[in-house]
Amino acid sequence: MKAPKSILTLLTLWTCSVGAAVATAQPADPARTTDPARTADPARTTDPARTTDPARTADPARTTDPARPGERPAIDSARARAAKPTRPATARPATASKPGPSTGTTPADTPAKQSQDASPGGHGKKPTSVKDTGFGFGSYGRVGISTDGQGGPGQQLNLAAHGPRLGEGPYLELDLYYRMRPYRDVRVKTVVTLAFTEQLFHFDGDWASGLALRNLYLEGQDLFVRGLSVWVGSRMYRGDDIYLLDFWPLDNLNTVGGGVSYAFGRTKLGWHLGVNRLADQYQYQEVAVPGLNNTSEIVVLLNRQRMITSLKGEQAFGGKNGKLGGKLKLYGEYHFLPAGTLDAHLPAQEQEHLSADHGWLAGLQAGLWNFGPRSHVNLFLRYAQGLAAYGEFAIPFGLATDKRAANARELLMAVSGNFELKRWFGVQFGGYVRYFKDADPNEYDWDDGWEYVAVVRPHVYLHKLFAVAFELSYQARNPAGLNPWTHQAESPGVTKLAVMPLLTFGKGNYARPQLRLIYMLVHQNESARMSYNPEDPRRDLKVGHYIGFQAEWWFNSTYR
Amino acid sequence: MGNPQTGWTDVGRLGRLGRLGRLGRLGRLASIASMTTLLTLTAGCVDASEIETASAVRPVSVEDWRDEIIYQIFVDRFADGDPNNNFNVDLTAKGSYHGGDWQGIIDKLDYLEALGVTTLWISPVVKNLESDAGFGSYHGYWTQNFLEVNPHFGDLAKLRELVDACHARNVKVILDIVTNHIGQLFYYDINGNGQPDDFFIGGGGQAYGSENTDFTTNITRTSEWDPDYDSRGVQAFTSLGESGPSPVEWVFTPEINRIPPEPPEFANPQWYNRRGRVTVWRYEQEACQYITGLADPGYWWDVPECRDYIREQEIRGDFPGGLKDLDTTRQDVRDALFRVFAYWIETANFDGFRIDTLKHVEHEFWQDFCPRIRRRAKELGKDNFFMFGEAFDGHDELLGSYTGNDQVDSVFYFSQKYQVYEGVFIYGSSTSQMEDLFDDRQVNYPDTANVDGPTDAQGNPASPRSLLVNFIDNHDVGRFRYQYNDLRAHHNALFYLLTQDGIPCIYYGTEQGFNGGNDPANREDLWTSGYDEGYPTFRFIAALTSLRKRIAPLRRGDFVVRWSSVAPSDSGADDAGIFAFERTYDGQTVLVVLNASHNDTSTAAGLTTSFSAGATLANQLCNEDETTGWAAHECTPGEGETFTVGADGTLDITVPPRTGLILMEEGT
Repeated sequence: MKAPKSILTLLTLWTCSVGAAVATAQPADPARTTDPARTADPARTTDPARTTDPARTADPARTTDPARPGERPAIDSARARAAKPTRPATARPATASKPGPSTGTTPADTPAKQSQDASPGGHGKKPTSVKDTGFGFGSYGRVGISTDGQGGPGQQLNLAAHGPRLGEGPYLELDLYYRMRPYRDVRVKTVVTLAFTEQLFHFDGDWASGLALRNLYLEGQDLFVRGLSVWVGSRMYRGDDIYLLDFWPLDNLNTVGGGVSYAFGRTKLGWHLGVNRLADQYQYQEVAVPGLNNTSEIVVLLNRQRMITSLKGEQAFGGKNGKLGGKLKLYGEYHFLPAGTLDAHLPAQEQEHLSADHGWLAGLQAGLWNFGPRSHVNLFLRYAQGLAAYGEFAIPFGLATDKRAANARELLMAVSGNFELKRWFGVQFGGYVRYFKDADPNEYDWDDGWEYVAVVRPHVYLHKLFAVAFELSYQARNPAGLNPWTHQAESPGVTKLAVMPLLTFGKGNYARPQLRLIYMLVHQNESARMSYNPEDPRRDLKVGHYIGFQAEWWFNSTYR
Repeated sequence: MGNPQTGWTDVGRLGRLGRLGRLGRLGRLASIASMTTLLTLTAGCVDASEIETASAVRPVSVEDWRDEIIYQIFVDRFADGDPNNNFNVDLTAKGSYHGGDWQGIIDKLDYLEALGVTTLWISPVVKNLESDAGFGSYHGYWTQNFLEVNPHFGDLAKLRELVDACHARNVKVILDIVTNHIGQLFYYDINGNGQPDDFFIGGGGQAYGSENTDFTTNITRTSEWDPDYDSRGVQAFTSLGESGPSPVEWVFTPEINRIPPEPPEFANPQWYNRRGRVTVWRYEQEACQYITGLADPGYWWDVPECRDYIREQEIRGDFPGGLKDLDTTRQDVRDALFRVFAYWIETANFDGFRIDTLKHVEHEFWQDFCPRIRRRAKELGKDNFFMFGEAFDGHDELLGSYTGNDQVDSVFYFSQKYQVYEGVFIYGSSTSQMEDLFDDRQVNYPDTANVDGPTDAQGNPASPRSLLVNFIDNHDVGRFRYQYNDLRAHHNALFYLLTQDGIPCIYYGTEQGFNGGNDPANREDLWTSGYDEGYPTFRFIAALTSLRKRIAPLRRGDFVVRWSSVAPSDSGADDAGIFAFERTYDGQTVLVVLNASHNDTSTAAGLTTSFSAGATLANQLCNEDETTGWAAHECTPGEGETFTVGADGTLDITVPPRTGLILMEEGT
């Protein structure tokens, strides 16, 4: 059993970081703990779905103040500010949307595979409504209202890059797909997913909605040999998540591209190549230049695509007929960004050279299921370097003097799981430890450091339609630099306790739809509060309340 | 705790070196993961509390400030070490931020060490109004928050890291501070409409409705940002007449950080003189005529009535550009200024202050501020804290009046800049002017040190007279090579700067031959030079700094003028341009002889020395020729020209134009 030993080793090593955080906090103020992730998470920096979250837009780490270390997205803050994702139209949630089934199972794209794999460890029912041919519709959505008990909206008060999802704002995905069988043994599906961010007309009176076309791809399946698929298009391409954190800790790419997968026996291989070109001056610039007839015309001067390729391999073991099952997954990414020149139309002194850059990521996942009804656990380990340490939607910040991200590092270890007793009890859990260091040479850097999140949500089922869930979470950061507001070494921490009476339509913790009444008590330690702008009312909020109700559903999702 | 010096790069290297075998029992995959994880965690455990307080920063001791060679750094223009703080950067505009930062200085400490400088004077570190009238606050003199760092340059941890890195090399760091004014953060709502208005009236005289009778130039400014000086205080008025003191309105424009000052007590309008901008500069003589009502009142400086009036404006008026003048006669203002600047010693472990706009603040303020700062520095273990000020004025008497007597320890020697470095080395005035100025120093500057002030190597108090900060040019005046773009003349001036008594101060870019004119042209980006350590002026300075370090009399010796010429340079007189002086310390004497003439070789015949008859003096600085760019180097043994002292202790020395000799008795 080498693998379990290695897992134990890794878990043991986690304690170093936790110990370091405690040791850091002690001399100054035992009540303190630190914070980089709210500034240092590259994925969040540019994740529009998160920046448009009302609870997050006012986050001190998300202010547009270019002086804030964590908010300096790139090469040149002046440019970076212009490049900030302030336009809802650019909102493309990287990690914010889907709940993800956290299964530990292999995807269930084919009926055969479903029957083979969907039973173990999965959190929900098999997608029985998915038809083999014809039109289909699926959706993920959440919507609700909340208050802080004083008339204002409830606030999540997260400080980690991927804090607990409870309290997230409205979000909707509409999956439209068409399946066909051009030949008896060949299948084709076309998938379109529309996503809406949280602007609701009935809330803000504004007709505008944040709409994104996320999935738009066509996939041919069982081509030439059974299990061989090819797809092309825009796709959310991802694996297993930590539902409670709305976070995909290993593989989660959102690109336009294509890929090949091959499933044989209990093995599945996948390769993908995609690109993105964000609408910011890190990757794109168009300018007006003199045209004919004393007019101007627009030319594109900078247009560099980030090329990302990924490779994944997955091997499942056991899991049939309710027996213990497991899987091991290896995953890697390579990112490349060509060189470019900003303001290329201006004299040389005014131009800015953007170096070519690259990065890589490697990770593994180990999962077990069927150690209880609808039960599973996944362990993740991921290491990223260079450009890949920043999410595919991120404008890298904290660059080296050559304006490259080569020295950036991210290490992430995560766990997620679900355990249920047959009739009356179930518990979901998740958490991660993450270290991030940007590419600049600063030894003491508020952007760099550790962060930790742990969350557990037990459920007690009192009726087939009614349950009570509780959620306890703790998140902390231990930045390697001084808080820019207080000039102190600090360790922000947030503790949350929630109780949720649920109306649930189905069995198990992952059953949806679900209607919830939420009361959440949030405690921010002093360091967490001091991380906010002095003018931000949340700075004074030692204890916060979130009272609300929410609906959440998913069905027939095609997100994989 | 990880090894910050090692960092991630070494982690990768170690991983590649194959230590994985030690964990073989766990399996190869587990080993790789575990080892990577372990190394990663080890390298990543940076403890920010290490840099949380200045106490973590390495202390440094200053034995004798006369040993120091100050290098003035305009942070924004020196080196860009971190592109991530380059917001609002515009390299094409000289008046905008250009991207230099504290990391850049850290990166170039080897360069500075090679140049031989021992103390860095860095431009202000505090948070500024970001921009005003299209100009950026890259210089740092537009304070908005006295207690926060300017994010263009780094964060507080980086500032401490800079000071720490300097101290590790025994390089001291001096902070530039401004007590006289803050940035343009409020306007005078003269017409009461609640918005800042600008309008100008040509032809001089009063603005319609105003009863201001103070001297004005031919343009009357009623800009509500920066109105003309009014000794009654800026008055509100409309076309119907005046209505009393003008209200002061703070502005809240956070996008350019034009917000009320911090700490909040500085937002009290009563803390400001509110008299409007100084209007007499460059019109002192006209102002004197206006005040006295005389067509020819004499030179204004010599007319007490005029001098008092002009000094009053300088002290109470806003600094041009709308920089609001603090009422430093108030004790609460004095207390607050003490607190905010003591904070920077406590916080970042600075070794001294360079104080801006010294002459714009009354003497009594300095007598309150300086002793308290000295005491606080002493409490922090800084026994030799050094404060010198900038009184941008050629009147030697005025400069001296701010030194000693519980005021600053020294000033920039502006009178020397004008009379010697311009007068002699550029315009060819006689070198007797140098001797005259030296004689004036004995009168104008106290020979008594401040209590708790700097001390010399023996622990004796060091008087202002011995600690004057000598300079050729700085950020407020055109560079030497702008005024006279002659490399040999420049080297000649540098030769004197680095051999005379006092503390030399070199403006960044001097070593690369920069020749910018007045502000902002004199604030060039040093990186355009490539930091060329082979540039002749760099080598020339490095040779002199090396000699100054090696030869104690050049640092600590007294100063005895042995020869000066009453003849202007190149006048044809035998000794035109010759200036000679001896410096003796601890029984060792150095004779320095220079020729400031542009073209003529000159001779000091019968030059009296303190050397004994028959002594052989060898030159220590070997000048190079045109092929090497007129640089110089320390003479190797036997290389330097020798002179034998005559029976009467005199020498006949001939010196080529624009060169100098540093003569020491052979064997010493």
